[in-house]
Amino acid sequence: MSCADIRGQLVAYRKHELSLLQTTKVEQHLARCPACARLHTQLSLGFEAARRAPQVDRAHLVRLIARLGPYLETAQPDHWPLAYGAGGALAALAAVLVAFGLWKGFEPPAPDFGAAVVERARPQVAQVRLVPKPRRLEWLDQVANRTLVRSRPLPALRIISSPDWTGRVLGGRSDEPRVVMDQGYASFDYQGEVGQVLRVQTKDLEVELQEARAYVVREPSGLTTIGLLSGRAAVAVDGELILLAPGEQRTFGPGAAAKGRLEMPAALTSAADFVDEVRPAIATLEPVAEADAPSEVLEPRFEPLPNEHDSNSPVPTSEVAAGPEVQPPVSVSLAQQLAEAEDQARRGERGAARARYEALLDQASEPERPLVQYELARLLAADGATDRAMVLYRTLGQGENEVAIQANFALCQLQLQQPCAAASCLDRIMTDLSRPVTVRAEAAQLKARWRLSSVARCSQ
Amino acid sequence: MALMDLFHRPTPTEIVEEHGPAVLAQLRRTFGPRADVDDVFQAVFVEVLRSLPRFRGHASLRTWIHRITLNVAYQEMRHHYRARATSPLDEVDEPCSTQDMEEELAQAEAGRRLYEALDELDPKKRMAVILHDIEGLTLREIGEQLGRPLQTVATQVRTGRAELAEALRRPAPRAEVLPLAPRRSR
Repeated sequence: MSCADIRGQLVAYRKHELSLLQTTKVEQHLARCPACARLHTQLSLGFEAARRAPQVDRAHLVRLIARLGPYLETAQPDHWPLAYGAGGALAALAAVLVAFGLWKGFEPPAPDFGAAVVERARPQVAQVRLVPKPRRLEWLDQVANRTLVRSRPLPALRIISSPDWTGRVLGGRSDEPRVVMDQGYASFDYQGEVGQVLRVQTKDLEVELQEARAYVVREPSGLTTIGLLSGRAAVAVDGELILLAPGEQRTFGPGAAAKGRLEMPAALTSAADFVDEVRPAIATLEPVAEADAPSEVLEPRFEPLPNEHDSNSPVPTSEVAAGPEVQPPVSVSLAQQLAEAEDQARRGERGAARARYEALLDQASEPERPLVQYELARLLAADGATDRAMVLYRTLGQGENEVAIQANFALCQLQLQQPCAAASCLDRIMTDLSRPVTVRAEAAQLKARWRLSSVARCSQ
Repeated sequence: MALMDLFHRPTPTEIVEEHGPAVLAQLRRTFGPRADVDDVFQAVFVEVLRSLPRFRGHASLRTWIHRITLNVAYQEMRHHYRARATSPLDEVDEPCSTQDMEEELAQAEAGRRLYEALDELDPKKRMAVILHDIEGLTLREIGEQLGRPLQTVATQVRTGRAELAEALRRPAPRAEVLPLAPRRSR
């Protein structure tokens, strides 16, 4: 190893993050290279000095607080969250009692992963590739633990998931989309830019997909099965990187031994194909000897994802959820009713759809209510009832959850008729340092996308 | 703890008094023990107090203030990228014994050089290295705090460390006294 290689590893060496082999190499190098040894000492001393708790002088702190004088007087909070004060104490007590009650009454369902999945209703198409649609919000929504999960638009991703699938699609600020998956099964069609990969992450491992069609099954027992239908895939597990070949399936986790070869389905174009063809095939896979397994990655045979605007698309458009969809829910019945209301709106029965949303608002439980309000606001906005939509979005936008974030963006979008107002609206989000970086970055991205970058703020 | 403490709602002054020391300590670990972080401290709490009415308690107040501190510090880093933020060496507290003095001075000098080298890093890598190797956060925690994917954070830490070692290896540049100041005036 060269000096430059060693220098790059010195901090990791100091923190005992290297493998035994790497540690030995670094130590051997340090023993014969005075320059690197000196650098190592300097780094160690420097980090030691940096990590020492800095002394905070009380008198100095008092002076700093005094400098905040005007802000201390004017910044009285409008209200405090329930976490503080009497409400907090009572809420905490109530939460403990409820949690205890739930625990006592809770019986985990028997694991029925496997064939039972096939018997269920058609799986939902959870995510789709998004075509940039100017003047439309383009985040993805996903079901996860009774909350909406926002993601950034992905260039070419479709996930067909089982109904019990929970996970999140993350866009991040880099070019590296990621799906964090908790349980269930899902097939992923991903065709990103050249060299761009999609990472699918479960609790125990990470799968890297490149121009690939693959499925990931995460069972409640902790077993994770990954099958590659076409394209390239690598699995990072326990510090090891395993390449999969098309047609290969592997299972990881406690007691996993299955490793089989998967017959490539003739055509896999819909959720039904996945359930009807692939899933039974997975269940009947026989383990094969190591030597029989495909050993090299073949050239990808990935067919381009269908364009939802293309009538020749092999995927029925009815299977593909369009645009920014607020996906479900929370409870199956509510999900169904929301979907039905949306269908009504699409069919042009907008009055009926609105009445349905309003009825749902009365029925929805407290955690579900924002979701219904959001849908209602969208419908109102589309129908031109901008004032009422804005009131709803403002109410929703008070919190910090995903619905609130999206409501804030939608509120800005509604003001696009007055570009300076829309720009100011996004500016407020961008400059609010109490918000997560991702939200502020998304506001900046929307500002650019809506061509508001050069628009000045409205003069007050 | 008295039961009445549960019913107490902290005033803005109490918030600054309670969380100020931790914020100040964090800023000193981020910018170096001898950097002038008073203005950054003020910028953090101006932002905290300004945003306080919107605080909903989805995270703890400590976490929320920590996030604001990181955001303000990161903005500061970007603004002062490649600027030096040091103060004269004679401001260091004098150690007691000769042996202590030598050790203290060696460590202080190493610390000063480390922060000079950190100053040369791109702010993203610098923040990742500081949070991982000085603050002791895991890669996942850094990703959550900064809103970056895990892999990106890992790459930034790895390349940041290598660049840090390279910067330390170079002869020390002449320190220019340049106090930190918040970019935005409020």
